[in-house]
Amino acid sequence: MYMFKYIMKRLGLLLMTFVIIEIICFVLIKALPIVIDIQVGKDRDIIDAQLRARGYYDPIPVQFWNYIVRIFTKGDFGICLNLPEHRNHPVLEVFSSKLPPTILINIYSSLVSVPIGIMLGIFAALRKNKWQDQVISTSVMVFISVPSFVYAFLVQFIFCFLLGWFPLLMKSGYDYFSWPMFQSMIPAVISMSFGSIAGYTRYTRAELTEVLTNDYMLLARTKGLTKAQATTRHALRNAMVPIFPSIIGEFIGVLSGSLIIEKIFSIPGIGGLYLTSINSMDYDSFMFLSGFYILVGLLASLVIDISYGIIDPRIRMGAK
Amino acid sequence: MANNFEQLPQEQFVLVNENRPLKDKELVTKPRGFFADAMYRFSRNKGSIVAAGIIGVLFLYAIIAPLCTPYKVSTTDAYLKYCLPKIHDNPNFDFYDGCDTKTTSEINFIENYAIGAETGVNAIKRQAYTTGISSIGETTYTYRLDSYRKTGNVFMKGVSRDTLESIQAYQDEMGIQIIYPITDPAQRPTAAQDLKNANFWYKTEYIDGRTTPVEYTINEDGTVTYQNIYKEYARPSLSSVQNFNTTSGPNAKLTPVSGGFTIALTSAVEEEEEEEVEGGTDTSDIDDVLEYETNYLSMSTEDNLNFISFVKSADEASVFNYDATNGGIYAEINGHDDPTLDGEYLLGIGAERGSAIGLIKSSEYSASDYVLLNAFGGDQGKTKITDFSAEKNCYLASVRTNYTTTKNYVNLNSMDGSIGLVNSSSASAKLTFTAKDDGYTIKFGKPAKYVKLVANGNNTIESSATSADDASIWHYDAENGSMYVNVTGHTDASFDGAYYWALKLDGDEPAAVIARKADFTANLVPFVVYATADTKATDLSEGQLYLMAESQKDNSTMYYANGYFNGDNYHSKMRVEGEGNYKYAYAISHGSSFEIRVNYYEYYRYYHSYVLKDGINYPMFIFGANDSGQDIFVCLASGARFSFILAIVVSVVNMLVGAIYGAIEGYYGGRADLIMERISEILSAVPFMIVITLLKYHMGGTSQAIILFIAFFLTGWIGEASLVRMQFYRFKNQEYVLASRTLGARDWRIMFKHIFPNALGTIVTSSVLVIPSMIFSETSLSYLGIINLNTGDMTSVGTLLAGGQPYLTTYPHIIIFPAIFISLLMLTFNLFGNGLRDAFNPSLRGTED
Repeated sequence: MYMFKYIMKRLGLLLMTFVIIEIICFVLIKALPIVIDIQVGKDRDIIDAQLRARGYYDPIPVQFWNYIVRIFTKGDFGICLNLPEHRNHPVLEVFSSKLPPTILINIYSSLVSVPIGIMLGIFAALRKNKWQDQVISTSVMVFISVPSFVYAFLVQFIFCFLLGWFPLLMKSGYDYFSWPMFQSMIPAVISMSFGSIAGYTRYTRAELTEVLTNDYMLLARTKGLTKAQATTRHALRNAMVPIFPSIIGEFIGVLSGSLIIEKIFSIPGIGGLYLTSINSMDYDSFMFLSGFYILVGLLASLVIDISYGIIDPRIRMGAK
Repeated sequence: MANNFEQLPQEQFVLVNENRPLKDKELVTKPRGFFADAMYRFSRNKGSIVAAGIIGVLFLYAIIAPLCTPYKVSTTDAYLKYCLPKIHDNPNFDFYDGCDTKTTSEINFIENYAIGAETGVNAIKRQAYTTGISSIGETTYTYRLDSYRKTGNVFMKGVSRDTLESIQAYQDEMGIQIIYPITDPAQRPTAAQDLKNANFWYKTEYIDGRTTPVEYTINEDGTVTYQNIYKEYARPSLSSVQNFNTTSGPNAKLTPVSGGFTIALTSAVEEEEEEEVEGGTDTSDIDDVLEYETNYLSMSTEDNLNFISFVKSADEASVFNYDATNGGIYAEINGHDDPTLDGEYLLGIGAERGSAIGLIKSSEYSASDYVLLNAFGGDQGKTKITDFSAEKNCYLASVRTNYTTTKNYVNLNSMDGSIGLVNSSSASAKLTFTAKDDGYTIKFGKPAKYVKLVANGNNTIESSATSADDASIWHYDAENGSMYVNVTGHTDASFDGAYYWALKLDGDEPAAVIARKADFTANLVPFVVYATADTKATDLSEGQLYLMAESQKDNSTMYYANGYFNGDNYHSKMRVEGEGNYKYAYAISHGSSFEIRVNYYEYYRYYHSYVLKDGINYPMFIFGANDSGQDIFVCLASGARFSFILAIVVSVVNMLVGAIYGAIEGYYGGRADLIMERISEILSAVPFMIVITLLKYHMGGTSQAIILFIAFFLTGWIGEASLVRMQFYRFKNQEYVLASRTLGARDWRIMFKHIFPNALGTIVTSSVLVIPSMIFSETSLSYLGIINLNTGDMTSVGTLLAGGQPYLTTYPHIIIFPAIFISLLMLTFNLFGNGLRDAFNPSLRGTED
């Protein structure tokens, strides 16, 4: 019951924050002059009339009301006015067509990086201050610091160009589960994994080394458990308390993807869509994607907090 | 107690410890302050010290590098794109020399070798190569290709006379050749991709879609010999050449006796005399009385004088008078002023720079005689008269008027023979051509304003001009013969005589082709009028007129018969000598500008060290050049400098604002804390990308750097604020705070004098740690193109990375240096920041690294 109340409270706060940010964004976007990229052979008057019919010239509060009403009654988030390839398509439709590559690549990357990262972290923690630990910690430092686009360039240059194992860019098309498509996704997945493997390794190592020095570990050993048994049964479980929520957070974050990696490997994903909408000043899709990113960010932090509470009842974030 | 202290007399009151020190023992060591302590701990962390050193080096690089190199971000060069990194020019040392080891087929090798073979500026280092056999059995060549010199030669158009002189002066001064002979246009490659490639100075053929070198020999000592295709100026019949220098004053006379030689005149005459000249025959509406200050030079040839070549007298007006009574004349005159007409056969030549008309008199032209007229007129306001009259079989090759005043007048009167091409690039010149016998062909390049054509035999007059803008009057008179007239793109015509037509293109008036005919017979060649698509036939009275709609492009013709083709105007000692004197042409004149062929590497040196004097003596890019020929070394430094400045300034501002905000939150707590915390929570939930995009949309006109500053500030202080808030919560209820409050200290004093110093270590650490993430954000944003910092002498690391990415596989050096820089910076900043954190908060050591 307490948990339920806690979740409800957090959800309420989340919703409030989200609504406020959305309103600010909406007002700021609608305060801008409408940019219409008039195509050859198109009549400005017709487009104007179309926009007027959709209420683009109404006062901002009216527009906001209509926006909300449309979203809840028709699921209509507006239309893409200026997106080169998706002119006059509903934002939601364009968005959902771009979602699969982003999600797939992020899921692949998480599937690769979480186990490897945790393994390396455990290994380093168990070998603390030995040479293995030194090697891992140093490389973790390097991999965390070096920007992801540098890996992307390296991966592209070495694996795609020099060795020719993968295509330079992601294959186009919608056959997301075919082998050539998977193969063309691999460079992006590798590039994305470096940083997050390093992150998990560092986190796991830090947590586990702290847990391993606890007194109950000594107790576990004195009552006759082997080191392996003590580690898996006691240390790992406790170390996972903060790690697990961040894994969950990562899986919420798969929705958002990486702008840079998507640009480098020309992945037709959300990031690319976001960049195009920014550059072509397509306000409806920008508004929608901004809301999406904000929501994903808020949800991820919420889920992390709540899962902390569920995994370890001692922790109640924000509890009095 | 019975002690009655209160009534103790004052003299009995003694302080016990009055003169004894209260402390047990003097402190031996000086107490160390907080920062000194942190410094001490920091100095024991070797990794962080090294990192700090590297950051220092990178920082110094960003600050100092732009001052050390003469290059600027705005220094671009279209011919030095993708140059490889280079730090020395030692021909014997192959490391980091801007060269690339290449293994190519023979064709590519021959092409690259040719650059050095012609100019001595070797595209192949040392011209050294090794051969091998490829997998398909062909000979391959391996050599080091110099990315700075492989551009070789380029054609430069629009070179002014001053520049030409300046280059020649530089050449003679430095002993370095820049200008190389022009190649013969007829022998240049025909492949579309090689039309503008000036490196084909040797014979080539078009084989399998590419230009292939032919007739070269690879000698036994490894050198390659080529067959050059330089444009030769001299005529084949030349037997000897004499140089004349007319320093003797006005009215110098040259009378060569024997035939078959060339006279080249260099006019150094300074004295001047005035002359009045009457213009052409049809002068009724032309103000043709001219006054020139001229030198006078008269030449007569007794025998077959083949070739007379003149002469640069651009400044002084000269009058030339040629009398070729018994022989053919090939005259080419340049830079003269005004003629007097004298003798039976006259040739008037007007030339450039508002000067000249020369006269050639010939009584017995044979059919093979070749009279070439080149009438150039450059300056406004000076009238030129070119009056040409050749009675017998004179072939007029080219008349070109380039006048800009209405006073220009060209009168061609060919009695017997044919007239070749008339090209008048001015819309205001007046031209009259009269063809008297059969077989004349007159071709018009560009029309003059008023053109009168008179044909007496069966002549062809062909005009392919496009002066749709200016009203032109065309006047055709075919009194006794037929005319084949082919006119394109004219505007107006009035006519006279029995057969005529008019063509009108503009406006409401009947856009019409009118052909009226009094006695038009069927077997006469009719007029064929090529008009533009807008032309309508409205007033056609007879059937024998064909109207064709055709749009025709201006086919500009190249003219070579100009003094700049021979040696006289190219006077530099640095030249490729042909078999005779002035063998090769060094420039093509296009009106007042010239086209030359230069070695770009040497031209670059000339241009930077001699013209701009910007400190660049020869191209050498330490980190190579990118796709617009910018020096990556200086671009990277400039981008880095901006990143550093941005990050440091924003970090300091954020620290101040965050500290105050957090202090207020933490100290007062309660409702103020709740509200302020909500505000920062909401702000922090907005992704940075959205903040920057909205700012960019709303402040589109402002500098993008300012937008970045604001965006970083808007959300950046939140982290600092929450850190400070936490520290304040921790310390605000401690006893010493209570004590100072009891003493009556104000809130402000307690906050910043007593509590804040506790938070200082954390704040400093986080401010340092925030710098790399800010640089990273800035790099990412400019990489993605959301922020564009490319203005003037500014650029950013992200832009460099984005610019290098397309060339990742072909020119990796463009991206390597920025990538190394940013990686190194991130790594060292993180190490440094971690070291700092450990130093300030020893309790946190090891928790997160």
